[in-house]
Order: sequence, then C-alpha cells, then structure tokens
Amino acid sequence: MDLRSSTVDVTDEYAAMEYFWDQGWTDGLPIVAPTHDRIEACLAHAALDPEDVIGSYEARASALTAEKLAINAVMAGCKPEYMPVLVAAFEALTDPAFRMNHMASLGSPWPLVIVNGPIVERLDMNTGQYLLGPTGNRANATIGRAVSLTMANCFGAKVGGVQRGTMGNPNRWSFCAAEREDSPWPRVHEQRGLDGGVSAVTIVGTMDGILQFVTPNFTDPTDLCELIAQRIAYGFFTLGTFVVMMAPVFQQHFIDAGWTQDDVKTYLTEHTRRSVASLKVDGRWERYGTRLSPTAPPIEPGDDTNLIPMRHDPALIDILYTQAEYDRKLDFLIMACGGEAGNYGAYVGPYPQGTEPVTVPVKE
Amino acid sequence: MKVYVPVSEPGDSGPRLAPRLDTFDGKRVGILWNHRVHGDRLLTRIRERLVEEYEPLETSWRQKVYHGEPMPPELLEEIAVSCDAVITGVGD
Repeated sequence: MDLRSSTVDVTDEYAAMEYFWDQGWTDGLPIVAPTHDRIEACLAHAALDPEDVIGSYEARASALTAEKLAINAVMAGCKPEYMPVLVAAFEALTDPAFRMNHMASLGSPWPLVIVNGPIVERLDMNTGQYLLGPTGNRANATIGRAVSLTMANCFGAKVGGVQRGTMGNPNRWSFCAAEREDSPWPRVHEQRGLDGGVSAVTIVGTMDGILQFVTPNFTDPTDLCELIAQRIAYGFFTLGTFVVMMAPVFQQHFIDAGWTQDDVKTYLTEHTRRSVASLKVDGRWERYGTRLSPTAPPIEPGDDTNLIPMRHDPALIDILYTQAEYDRKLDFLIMACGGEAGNYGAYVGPYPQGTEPVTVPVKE
Repeated sequence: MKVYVPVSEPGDSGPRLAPRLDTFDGKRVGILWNHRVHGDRLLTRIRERLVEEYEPLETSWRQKVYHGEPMPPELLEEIAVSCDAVITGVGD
C-alpha cells in the first residue's frame, strides 16, 4: 500500500518520539512510532484507502484523510480494530451540527466520545468501574487519545493553532466512555434514534468535566432527581444536551419505583432551576443584550426566592441566553455505566453555545 | 526506521487563503465582524486606521448573526463578489 505522507528517517522508536515531541506533534506523552506496517494495518482493518476522506471542515479548509487518521491512531496506541470507531467519531466531529468552530473557545471545550452497541464488548471497552479512566483499558484510553491527537494535528486544535482555551481541559488526554450493553433502559444511541443492535459513536460537545452525584442513602426517585437537578443548575445553567451517567445501584432505584427513562428526563426539564440571585452572582443574569456592565447586577428583594427553570422561555432571551442559545434543544442523554458498588452518578454539561450532539453508526 | 508525518499536508486540505493584495489603490475592503463581543471595537479601529492611511479607500461593514456558526453561504457569496479583500478577527 502506497502512503502519501512525508516521512522522516529516525534511528529507533525512541528517536521517533523525540522527533515528534520536538515538532509539537504529540500531547506531551510518549507515542508509538507510526511506521508503514502499523499504519497499513489500521487502514486495512477499516477497509480504507489512504486517500479516502473521512471528513472535512470547510470553515477551516481542513480535510482528514484515512491515512492521517491511521497515523494518529498508531501514535495514540490504538489497535487496528479500533479504527472503525475512530472513523465514526470523525464523521461525527466533522458533521456541521457539531460546529467544530466552538472548540476554539476560551472555555477549553472538549467533546465526550460515547461508544455503544456490540462493538463495546468486541473491543473489550470498559463500561464499569473507573470507566473514565485511567484503568489500563486500552480501547477507552487510546480511542480518546487518538481523537485528541488527530484534532491537534489535522484540524489545528492546539495552542498556536486555532485553539484558544484559557485553562485547558484534562479531559483532553482522553474522554471516551462506553455504555453498558445490559442496561434495561434505551442506551444512548437508541435515545439518538438508532437501532439497539447497531454499534455507534455519539459525540457530545462539553466544557467542564464530570460532576458527581453522591448519595449513600437516597432511594426515592424524586429525591434522586432533585439531587441531579441541583447539581446541573449550579453548573453553567445553559440549554443544550446534558449527559447523565447512572451507576447500576443509582439506576435501579428508578426501575424499582417504576420510573422510565423519559420520566427522569421530564422531571429534570421541569425541575432544574436556580434563583435569580444566584444567577446574578454567577454572571449569568443579564449577561447578554440589555446590560453589558463590569459590575454584577444588584440583587433585588425576591431574587433569592425567584427560581428560574432551566428550559426554553422566550422572556429570557437576552437575559439568560442569546437567541442562538435559545434555539438549541434542551435534552438529556441518560447513560448506564460505572462500577457495581455505590449509589453514584455523574453528569457532563454541554458547551453552552452552538454545538449539538452527533451520532454515527460504526461501519464494520 | 521510517516514520510518517501526522499533520495535514498540502493535498489533504481544501482551499487556503485568498491571494494577497499588492496595493489598496481602487480596492474594496470588507470588514467582517463575527459578532463576538469586543471584536466590533477592534475592527472599527482597524477600519478607521485603514481609511486614515489609505484614503480614499472604499470600506464596507458586515456582521454575522452568531460567532459560533460558520459563515452563511449567501453572505459568503455576497462578500466574495463585492470585496477585493476581507478583514476579520476576534477581540477577546
């Protein structure tokens, strides 16, 4: 197989690493040297030709070839079997709905990669304890890392390129999770409209990391939902898609009480709320439109008890969200994952502007 | 051993920057604000400086509705036919 990329002659594997570090082609960790045979194995497993275009991003005049994706996959430590997942991931990341532009934000956004379907078991992905790693699970770790390296090397998502995050984001090392196949509720790809028997990758634009729900004692679904709603409300309080992760013990309380997944979503939509006073202190209130002031809006009598639901309300355009933010869907994706022990859950909130989740079937 | 370069190379990607102008004489310069806060202040000042230095320079102003969206195709089309150069940027 003829590859088109330029090559560099190095004396050994370690010299390759040194060279790649010097060029700024790594994330700072050691890499596997991308040799012809290793790249070819990745391409062959996904039945791709080197020049096949996986996706392009017109606004950046960037296109990703199968060869470049395979090179970065090798560097990240991927097995060739992971390549179809990466292909689906980049078909999703380059979908216009994901709006890759947002990744230049000062907020250091980074997408969560969720893998569903039969491929989860075939690749031996970790859906359980410590699934967000690191646990030594190769698939979770290296698929997420390959996404990061490819974004940097082929789409300029790096410092000195188009990425402008103020603080950075540790999720960027690798932010890949897989859902339990045996969940009694519709899994993420089913919630996104695909058949459960299909393997799929869902990309969700996020900004902050996971925030956990921890309750050793609560079992009542309403109590558990209030806990989730409060955690979400005191995050960035934005419309968009929230991923709510439930460990088996946590999820079982809802099932025992006869709650459906939709019941949870409806409750969260209705009851995620926060006081005007808190939103003012947090710089969220009157952030847009009528008042662009270097000082926080004064707290008025009644602001402490005036609770604003985190849902669409046209009266709040230019007060709590811009028109473009208002136009986004408010959605919750509920994901069954995590260790068997512990009444725990977690959520990941959306990047507050522009991006929408994208789900793409894995072609095998 | 031979290793392969992981970054995009010419041939992988689509169009690049438009050809640079060698003079402003008789040119039409478009200013495009992406609607990100403070970018309007920066671009307004750039526009003023250009006019001060290169008068008579024809400049025009356009803005996107939302910075997080790619350029609307109709605006891209319009600006491509009515400007010889376009200046854009952010003011964060």
